[in-house]
Amino acid sequence: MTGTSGAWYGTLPAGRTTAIQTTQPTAGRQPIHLQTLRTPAGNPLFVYQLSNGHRVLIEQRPSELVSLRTFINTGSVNERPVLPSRLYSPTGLPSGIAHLDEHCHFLTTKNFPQPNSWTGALTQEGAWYNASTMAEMIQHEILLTPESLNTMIPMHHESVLGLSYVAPHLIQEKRNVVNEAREYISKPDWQICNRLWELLFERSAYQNLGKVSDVDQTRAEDLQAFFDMYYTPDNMLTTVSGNVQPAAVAMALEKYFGTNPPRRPQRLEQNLQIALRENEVRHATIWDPKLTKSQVSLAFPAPALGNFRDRAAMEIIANMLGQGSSSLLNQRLEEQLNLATRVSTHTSSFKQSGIANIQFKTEHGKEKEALAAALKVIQTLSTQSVSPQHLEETKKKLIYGFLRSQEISHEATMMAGSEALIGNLDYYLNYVQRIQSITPQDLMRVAQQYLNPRRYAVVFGVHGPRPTPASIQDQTELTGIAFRGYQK
Amino acid sequence: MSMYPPMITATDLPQHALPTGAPSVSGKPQQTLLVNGCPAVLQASHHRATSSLSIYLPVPSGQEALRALWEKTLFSGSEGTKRFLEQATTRGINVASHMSGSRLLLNLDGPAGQEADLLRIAMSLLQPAAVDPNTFERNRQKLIQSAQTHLQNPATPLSSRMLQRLYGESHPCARTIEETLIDLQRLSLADVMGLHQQVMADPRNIRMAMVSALPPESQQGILNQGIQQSGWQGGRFGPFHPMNLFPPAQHNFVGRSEPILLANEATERAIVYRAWRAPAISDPDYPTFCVIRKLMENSSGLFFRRLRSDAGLVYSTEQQYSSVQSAAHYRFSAHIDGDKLAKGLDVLRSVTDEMIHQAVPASDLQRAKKQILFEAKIQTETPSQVNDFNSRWLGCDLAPLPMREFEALIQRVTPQDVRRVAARMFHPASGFEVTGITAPRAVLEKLPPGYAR
Repeated sequence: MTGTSGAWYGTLPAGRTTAIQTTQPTAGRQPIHLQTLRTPAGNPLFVYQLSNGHRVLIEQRPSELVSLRTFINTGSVNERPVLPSRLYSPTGLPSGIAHLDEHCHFLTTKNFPQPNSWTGALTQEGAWYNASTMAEMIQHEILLTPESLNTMIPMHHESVLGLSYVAPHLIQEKRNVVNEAREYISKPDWQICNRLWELLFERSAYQNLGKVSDVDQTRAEDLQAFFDMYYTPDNMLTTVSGNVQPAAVAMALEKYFGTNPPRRPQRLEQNLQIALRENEVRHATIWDPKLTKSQVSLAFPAPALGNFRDRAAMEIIANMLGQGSSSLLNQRLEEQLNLATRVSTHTSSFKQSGIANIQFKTEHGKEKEALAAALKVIQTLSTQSVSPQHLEETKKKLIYGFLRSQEISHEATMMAGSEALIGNLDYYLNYVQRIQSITPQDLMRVAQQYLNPRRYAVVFGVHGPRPTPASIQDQTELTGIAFRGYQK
Repeated sequence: MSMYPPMITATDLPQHALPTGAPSVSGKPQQTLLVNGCPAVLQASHHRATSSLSIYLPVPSGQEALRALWEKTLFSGSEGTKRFLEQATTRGINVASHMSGSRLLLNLDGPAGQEADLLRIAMSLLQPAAVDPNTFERNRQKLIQSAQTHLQNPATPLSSRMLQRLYGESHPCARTIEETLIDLQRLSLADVMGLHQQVMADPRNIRMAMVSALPPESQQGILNQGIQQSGWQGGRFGPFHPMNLFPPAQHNFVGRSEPILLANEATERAIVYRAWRAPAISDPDYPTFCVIRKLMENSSGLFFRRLRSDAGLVYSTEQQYSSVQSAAHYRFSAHIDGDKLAKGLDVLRSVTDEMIHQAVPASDLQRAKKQILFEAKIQTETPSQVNDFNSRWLGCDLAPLPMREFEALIQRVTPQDVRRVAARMFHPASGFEVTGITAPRAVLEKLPPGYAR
């Protein structure tokens, strides 16, 4: 790899990727072409940095679509906690502000001052837009045809950086945010997921939606302050994938996104933290009449984004445990013991932590028996080496699945961008090699380290009437609706 | 005139921001007959990474339980089948199934160059399998449990009642989950294998579709060779007797049906459905209906604008279109607060009235067309997606439209077409509309005249 100034994308292991072209940085308001790499799909990936420090990745691929996506390195994790916890600063921004702000980016902009006229103009061109707010990341995307790229880059800039916060129009968006929250909160699956996050991270999964009182009281000035704090060039990244000319796209991005003034405001920069202490198991039960069968959802800590080797091993473990009809948990719980159905597993990594989630449905009254059986299966990975054949088959499944996802341009921008946002593309670019390099010993080590049967969180979702309000403890004033009952 | 300000222009943007012009368009779907008489649609794709094979199996009308048991038997009829499918995934081959129109659709996709393997795996699944009776029984119990779970969803009885109104109670599309449950308990392994043998006996009842980087002639060669090797031969059959597929709706009522109101104290917000008979995919008005859908749906559509942006009644709405042969309907659904239900119903009515009585602005029509064509691009980015896109026609025993022809049909839709088809669907003198609401009794009792019992 050729060294360049501002190598924000990290160091790639030698020989794994091919630099097909490198140009020297140019002075003045020009995008700096730092390097050209190859994506896992074999397409060239051009790495740029705009003159103000805003980072850009452009993948050139033969597609009829272009995905144009901008990431902002913040999320609801920097807000005042909905659920009080010693792990997060109580002095953060109002809860729900990151999500409300994301909505505002589609509401009014400087050149589209009428509410929703930006979305109208964009869809008039046949393009498609989306955005999402997560705990540690916000992203805005436009999906378009290559022919409309000249028009859509300024449109994207308009929405991401050219928005205006107009107090009277905020009422509409606050109403939408609250309606959105009410739709989520009524789903038992979401309540279980939320409770699990509260146990594992001491962070509500509903943090994004915010307290109704906070959302109501958020002013245009608060949103502007949030924008000024986090929408800074050094905190942003744009990814593009499609049938485009990279140099021209970088120039166009420079013209628009390069004007965002560099600044280093004081700001809170928190990350999700694991709340479990050593040998601590946290559990809770949620009742809901909508649950037709009981649901058991458990979560272990998982490797952080930058811990590439452990991440790869944990992906393999999650696949072995619960993905596919011949997975270990399926075979044991569903086929042999007839204790559970719909077993599923997934793992997600964050900047400093991660979650390995295992869930399944079971009959009412058998929740604990099923959990014990699941823990026993999970523990075998810590004590017994998996067969080389099983490991090889699982690796192939993961690699094929990954490469299949890379056929879709907007999947590619999402994956590349969310990795690059932390400053390192290694896991994305070398995913195949990372997975291939995992040994049975790695799996055992990672299982021992993370899947500790004495350190996890579990939530039981049970069919039943909601508890009366008086019995609901530690209720959160979230979106004005009480959670279904918890019982610690 | 557009209600939107003019687009930002970027006249000084360098021209080289335009596409590179690298080829990225898939070929036309080409129809052919395979060596055993099975009709096939073959399409070349610019995609080098993967290929896709779809197999359409006919399902007798109104036999949901038989279909479900058959599908389970094909995919998990024995431990051997399950292991076989797991092995396929380690070679990057995914196998899935779902209903498409009146047919059960088997989808296989995998890395390019494995087209013959896709067929070989499909043939293995379709060969008379050594089905284990115990596994069959377990599969049946799982399906029964799944149906029972489905029944507990408050929206299920509402949906069943609406389909009965739309199609007539004896129509196969209107069969209820309760009836399916009875069938599930009654059907035997022999019934399922009987269906399997009936379907496989005449390849002319089956359809195949392949999308791959290979030219259609090569695809045909691979499929023919695989069929011959599998022994699934044709040509020795008597006259062709197509299987009994879905009939059209059995009544021609017009107007607005009495609303279906189902009290359910467990629902927090009212579940509102409204459905209309709609042009089927084979109907010449189908392209216009596609435009109408876009004018009503999405973030720029009338449902969204009136219910969310203007009235703030919902965060999201759902729309569903079902076309099984010539039987088709279009359904809107949303969750609305009980105290705002009457307003929500009024807004819904205003949307369909607007479609009937007001000429669609040229800019809105243009946007709807662009959105349809853009979404078609999103839906056809990979070979597997191309096959899925074509399934809307193949599942109804129609030839898939080449993208350019589909585009031309959409582009030809005029504002007059929109009003005519909107009137056909939504006007009480020509369309047929059913409203269904599930909510606590107290909410239903407060509904305005015309809705209240």
